[in-house]
Amino acid sequence: MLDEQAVTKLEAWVQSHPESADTPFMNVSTGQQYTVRGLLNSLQASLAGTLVLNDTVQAELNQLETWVGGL
Amino acid sequence: MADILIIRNNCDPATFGTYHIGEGLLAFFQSKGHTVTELADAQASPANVQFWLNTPPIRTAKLVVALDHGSNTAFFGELNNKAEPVITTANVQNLTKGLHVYTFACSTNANNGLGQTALNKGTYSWLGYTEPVYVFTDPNSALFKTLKEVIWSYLLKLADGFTLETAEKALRDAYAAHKNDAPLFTYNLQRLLLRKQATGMTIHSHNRLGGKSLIGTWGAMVDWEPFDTYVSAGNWTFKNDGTWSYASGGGRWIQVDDTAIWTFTNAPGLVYTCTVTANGLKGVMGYTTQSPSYKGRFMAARAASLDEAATDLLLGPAREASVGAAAPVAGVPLPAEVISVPVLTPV
Repeated sequence: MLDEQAVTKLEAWVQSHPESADTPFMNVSTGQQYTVRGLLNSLQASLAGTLVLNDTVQAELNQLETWVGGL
Repeated sequence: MADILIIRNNCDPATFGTYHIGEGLLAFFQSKGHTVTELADAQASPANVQFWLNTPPIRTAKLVVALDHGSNTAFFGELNNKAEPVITTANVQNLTKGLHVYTFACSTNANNGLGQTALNKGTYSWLGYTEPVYVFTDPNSALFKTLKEVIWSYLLKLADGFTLETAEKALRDAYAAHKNDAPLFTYNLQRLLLRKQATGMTIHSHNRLGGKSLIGTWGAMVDWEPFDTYVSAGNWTFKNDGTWSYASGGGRWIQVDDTAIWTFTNAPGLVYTCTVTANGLKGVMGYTTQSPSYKGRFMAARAASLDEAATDLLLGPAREASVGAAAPVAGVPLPAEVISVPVLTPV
């Protein structure tokens, strides 16, 4: 799960890149499609206790954390 | 026979993306003088892929561009509108030996996977990804177009005859340049891997035809009489259509077996001739005219990293200008300091 700093950084990126945040991308192997904003929303819902993340989404969030850390 | 085979199926939402990455590639390669076969959508069938890659006879000579599904053990095409393995660890030797392979597909370059098997069986190079890749799904989005440019960056370099190293650097740099635009660029870059048999290869130097081809881009050095110093002469690019060019001009070339000769439209009477090997050129040049009557020698390696020469050293010795003589042909002053440009290791 992303730490607080990473979440803040991701929120800032989504705010500054609204078009990119809404551009869908797909894992070619699984066929699962995401947007960064959608992943952030899932994360926020999870942190608020209103959503339980499945393993696939969790794996995507782990990757997102690594990416955000490199920004 | 084609230089290049493009495979891009389009049978599900994921391959809809990879398919559109390849949109326009055929025309692009053709504009560079390459002969190309494209197996698109339903044409990307196992039977068609085998027909174009199996030997003998040689139907695809240099490069396979594969934009599709992949796994550790297979690259996929399409059959009856479903993804179907077309290149596998079982047939990769027959299908890709002596070729270069460029994939935008999942996992074909994982450890002990398809790409590694291919290299062990005689494929010259395999660029692929060690894990699943990501693609944008809207071909009209700005990010999709950026990704397309990134994926093409490798092919642009190969098409112009640059080495695999130069092409790989272009691809990695292109991915890295967009890392802040979206996470996808970082994801794919982290999984990118080029496996290759040797350094300094191009699709023209190493292929199913034996590789002694002048076609491509060379980093050259020249040494005009009195034969004391080789100096960098920039890059020379020889195209399939019989033309060649460098920063200040160009002309036409021919090759018979391993001997090549070329002339200059911008320097009448000047002729270069050399022996072509897989990795280098070594030859002589000079004017067949009475004046000027310079003679010299040159060598070149498959490369793209040389800076362009400050002056046109292909037309005559630089030192003439430094002692006040007339410039050879082009009329460009040739300052003495160009003699001190870095000298490469001879071929």
